[in-house]
Amino acid sequence: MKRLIGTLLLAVLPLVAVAEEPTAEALVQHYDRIMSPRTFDGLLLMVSHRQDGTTRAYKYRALKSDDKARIWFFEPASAKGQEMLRVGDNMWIYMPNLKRALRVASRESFQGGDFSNGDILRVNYTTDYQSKLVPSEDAALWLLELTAKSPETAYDRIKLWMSKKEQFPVKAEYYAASGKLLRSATFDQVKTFRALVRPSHITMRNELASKRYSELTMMDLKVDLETPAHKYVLDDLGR
Amino acid sequence: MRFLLLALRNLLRNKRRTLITGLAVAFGALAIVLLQAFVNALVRNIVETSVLAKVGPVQVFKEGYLSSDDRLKLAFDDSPELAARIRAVPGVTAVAPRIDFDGMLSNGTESTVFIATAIDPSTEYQVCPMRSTLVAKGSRPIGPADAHGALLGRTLADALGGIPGTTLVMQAAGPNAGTNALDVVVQGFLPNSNPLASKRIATVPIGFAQELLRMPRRVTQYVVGVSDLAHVDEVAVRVRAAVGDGYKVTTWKELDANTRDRAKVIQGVLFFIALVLALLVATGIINTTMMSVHERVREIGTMLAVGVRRRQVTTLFLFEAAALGLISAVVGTFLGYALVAVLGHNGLQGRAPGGDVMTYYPGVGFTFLAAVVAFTVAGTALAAAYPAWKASRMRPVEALRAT
Repeated sequence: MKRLIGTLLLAVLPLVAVAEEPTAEALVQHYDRIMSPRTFDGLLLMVSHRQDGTTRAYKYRALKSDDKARIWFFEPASAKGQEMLRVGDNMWIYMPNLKRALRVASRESFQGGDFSNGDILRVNYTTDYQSKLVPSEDAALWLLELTAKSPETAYDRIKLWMSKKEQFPVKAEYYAASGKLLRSATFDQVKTFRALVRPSHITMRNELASKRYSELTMMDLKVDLETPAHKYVLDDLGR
Repeated sequence: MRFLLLALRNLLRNKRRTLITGLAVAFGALAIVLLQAFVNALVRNIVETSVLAKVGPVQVFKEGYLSSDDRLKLAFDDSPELAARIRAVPGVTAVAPRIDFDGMLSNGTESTVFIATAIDPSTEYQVCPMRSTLVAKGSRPIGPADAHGALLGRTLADALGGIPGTTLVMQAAGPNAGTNALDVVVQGFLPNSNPLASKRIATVPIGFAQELLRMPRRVTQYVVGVSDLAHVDEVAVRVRAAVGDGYKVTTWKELDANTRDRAKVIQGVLFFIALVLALLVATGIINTTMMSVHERVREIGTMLAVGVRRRQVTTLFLFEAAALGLISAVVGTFLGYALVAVLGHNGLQGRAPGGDVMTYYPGVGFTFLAAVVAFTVAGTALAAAYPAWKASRMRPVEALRAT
């Protein structure tokens, strides 16, 4: 009898473990699915707090389809008419006063804030990073350690904490190759966007210049939609 | 010959007038010599503080580097073989690797943009000997032992409270997309050459840059030192042949068009001033010769009457003017040269707008002195040409009757 229970327990244990402990890959895939869905059309607000104490609010619409993305800025007046485009590894910003698109790098700052262009236009941790679960000090959180697969990613290493209950990102730390902490982020204000529930507010702190931080708020979000392919063509910028 | 002697004696007939005109010519020559000496000093300072302290006489890049929007991608291997090949070119004194890059510099609470040049202290000062003086008072240039030291523009350092000895963080992206960050120790300051640059510039050791940018043993350019800056173009042609295809060889004139243009503008201004001075002096000469023609009308009539040829009359007046020009020019240039020699020995302190005090050493070449004398003689003769011709056209009968 005892033996039978033992065998049963042995057989059941892995199942329990699986139910309790998702794989690192599954968590990262989940992160990508809710924080950067495969296709979406969103309205966002990025507020950058600068070191001189001033703030600037950028309101924009973002459209994404796999590795292509497009942004239209509405506010402030100085950025109105600006657009951005990402196709694969390439990114451009369209300046209405120049009537021309300029290439920008993924690592460059997004509108002078503390998010990089890559943070906004290119979030795909599943393909860019190797992930593994590491012991977390907080029992309610998973701690994931993401290591860059290639030197082409913006950060060399990311520590990502996700809540065990809802599997939402809670906070993250972004490290340089030298091991220095560059940025840290917190995720809060969980909101329901139609079928998708996720934190709607990200605060990105510049760890090398603590007077600087930026907030990104998702105001509206539609997912799983067909976006017209011609929106992701360089010639369409400014139209 | 007889006419030349006659011309010299004629000059002594009205000593006061000759003296005044001569002084005007001599002063003109002296002013031009002095101006040229100052311009030489200024141009040399401008060129040397740029070329021998920062840019370097010749630079070698990968083809397309200067027009690329992602320059670090066009870095190349720091190859001893390639460096040796360039060093073997006649006229080349040394080769030094460099990396130009930019990024953010922060102190923990604030950050600002920087533009840095990474140098190899063991070879850089052979290529740019004046770079070792390119530090603010009290700062030490980067040496082979400084692995993590940086020299910053004063305004850049001030913005981050970076006094010598403090540690700041340099953040930059290399040829790959990822950003890296490393601690850097403020070792000192770069001199205030221009307020805009002072807000951005930094100098770091090349090893530090290679670690920060994650591009070990790679560089963006070779800087080539030459034995004589005046022959930089010829050396560049030979270096071009030595490095072969795939590399672009440029001289400081292309890399620092600003400095080249400033030198040209200053020389252009000098030329204009010299022209105005020459015109003023020429007016004086014309006046003097005219006067002597007018007061010697009867004499000219007599000469023509006794059979002196018209051509000889012209020659006489031309000789008078040219002799006056020659003597005055020699005196003027000699005085100018003596003055320049004294100034050049002691040096002159001056301050460029927004910059630090610099010492200028005026100097002129002997070819320039010879040219000033030659042009003065030719100029005075030319100025006297019309009055002299007029004198020779006189009709003897009327000239003799004149009062």
